[in-house]
Amino acid sequence: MPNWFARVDTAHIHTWAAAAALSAALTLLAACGAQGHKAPYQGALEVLAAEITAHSEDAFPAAPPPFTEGIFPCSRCHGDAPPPDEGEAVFPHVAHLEKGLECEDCHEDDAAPTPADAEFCDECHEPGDRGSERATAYFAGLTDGFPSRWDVTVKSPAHETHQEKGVACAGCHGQPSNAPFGKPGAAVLMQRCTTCHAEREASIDCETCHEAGTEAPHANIVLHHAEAQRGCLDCHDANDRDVLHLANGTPIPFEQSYRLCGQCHGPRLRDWRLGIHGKRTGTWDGRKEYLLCANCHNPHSPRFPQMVPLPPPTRPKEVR
Amino acid sequence: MTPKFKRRDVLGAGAAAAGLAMAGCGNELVEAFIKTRLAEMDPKQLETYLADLEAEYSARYGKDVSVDDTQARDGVLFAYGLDLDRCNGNRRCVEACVEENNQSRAGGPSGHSNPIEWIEVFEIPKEKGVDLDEADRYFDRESVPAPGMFYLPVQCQHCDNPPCVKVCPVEATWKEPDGIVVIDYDWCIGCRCCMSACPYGARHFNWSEPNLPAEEMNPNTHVVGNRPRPRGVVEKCTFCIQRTRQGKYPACHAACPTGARVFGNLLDPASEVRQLIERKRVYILKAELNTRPSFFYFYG
Repeated sequence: MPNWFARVDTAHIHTWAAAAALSAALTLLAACGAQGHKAPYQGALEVLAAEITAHSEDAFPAAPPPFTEGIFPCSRCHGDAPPPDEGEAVFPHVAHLEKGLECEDCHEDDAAPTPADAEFCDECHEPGDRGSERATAYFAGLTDGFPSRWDVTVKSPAHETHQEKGVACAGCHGQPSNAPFGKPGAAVLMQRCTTCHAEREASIDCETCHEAGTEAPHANIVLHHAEAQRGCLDCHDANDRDVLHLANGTPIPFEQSYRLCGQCHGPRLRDWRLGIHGKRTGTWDGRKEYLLCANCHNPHSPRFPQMVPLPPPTRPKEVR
Repeated sequence: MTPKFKRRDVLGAGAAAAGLAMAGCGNELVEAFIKTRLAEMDPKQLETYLADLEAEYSARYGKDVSVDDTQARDGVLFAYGLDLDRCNGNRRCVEACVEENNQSRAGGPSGHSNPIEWIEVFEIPKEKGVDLDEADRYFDRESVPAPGMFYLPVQCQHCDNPPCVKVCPVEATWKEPDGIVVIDYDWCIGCRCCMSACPYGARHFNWSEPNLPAEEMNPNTHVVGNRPRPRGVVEKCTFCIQRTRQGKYPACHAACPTGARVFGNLLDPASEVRQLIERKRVYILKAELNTRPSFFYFYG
């Protein structure tokens, strides 16, 4: 069998390279200076400029990683509520508790706790003076209904059942906060429910709390990435779900996910920085654009997917 | 080097006889026959020549076609890298190449035009290694990569010691200063010696009138690159000379969805391809033939 493939002796290449390296560098410098650009991801640009020293300093990822619509921001379900939008209904629970009010004073019916009605509010507040825009929105919500922020609904008898078993409001909802309506702090993190249910030997079947057919969050995520040794919080930050964290705990934004990946995939990270691994776009003599690891590899299941190839070439006999 | 005599002089000397022989030909054909070769044109001749080509193509394809002659830059030597661990045989590079470089498509008015693809993607069983005897370029899979197979795209290797250039009897093909091996389509006599000399099967012959639908014609062309070719000439990959001399990456590089392709200036120490050969083990095809390719394969 002939030797189709042979290792290259790169010595002669170095000889060519030395000859015109200087003029090439000057050409490159001029080309870089002449090109302006707008980074779609300004933060990542700055990081890459600092991190990648082997290349022109205007390298940046071409696009943010492909997160599924609706997952961002993670803190919507995990951890503290995001700041309420302008005009969104919020209730200043903290201020009322400081005045000595108890949960039951406003949320009278234990079986189906509802917000206080306007008449009760009027006992202390001047009728007609609702104060801020958000307070006005709250009172409007009392009559018109509040917007649901939640995809997962809890069955209605939940409150009654919990009350019977002696679980206090704060047992699930935590201490009341000034969070947007419908999101009492980090109350309904499901982990809280399942832990408590496990301790009390209550059922943790899905249908115990959720209507049958409810789509579970993250149902689309399949962890096939050294899953025997890895869980969500190895990469996602437990305290702030809108960031990732390195093994040493350093939080990093999603745009710098390559630092996280590089902890295990060191040689790959090195090759990526040099332009040997991963796709580059832009120009060979000036501005180059990078794609992040997560642009091509699903971080939960990183193997590159199978593709449908384009048709084979025409055989000579088919041409005639 | 200037030849001792030119076709025009010969024709001038034998004008009477030639005139008789060519009486049936139109002026354009006579002009085409006696034209000076590209490499020997003075700037004025070249300007007229390019303008004539642009006018001809613009009329033929009904769009504004440009034919440029951007020259090689100083301090640039192109080289290409291809990661055999990444390539999955999806053939997107082939499609992009055909569209960018105005290659002949299958079918055509006669129904049997000779389709040309400058990139051949071979499927080889992993257990065989890089053995072209085991390679299949007609693989037809529902999805790739197929189990146990790897993929080896082969195109012009732009050799430093190109056998195709050596054998051309009319010097219609040569290596440019930036490493690109090109063909003067107007000077090629279609003898196909270069095709038999090339050990990589990288050269292709227009057996029939190329089938290039006007709506698919790429109007940004280079005179020794992707300008439409006539029947009876040889053509090949030019590293997308019309793109790369403007700073762009080649079309196959831009189209590759797996990021298997690396391209750049070997003389620039920071370029991807230079970093590649300095830091990885790279391989060339058929090294024993001493062709010294500018196309490096590696396992990323």
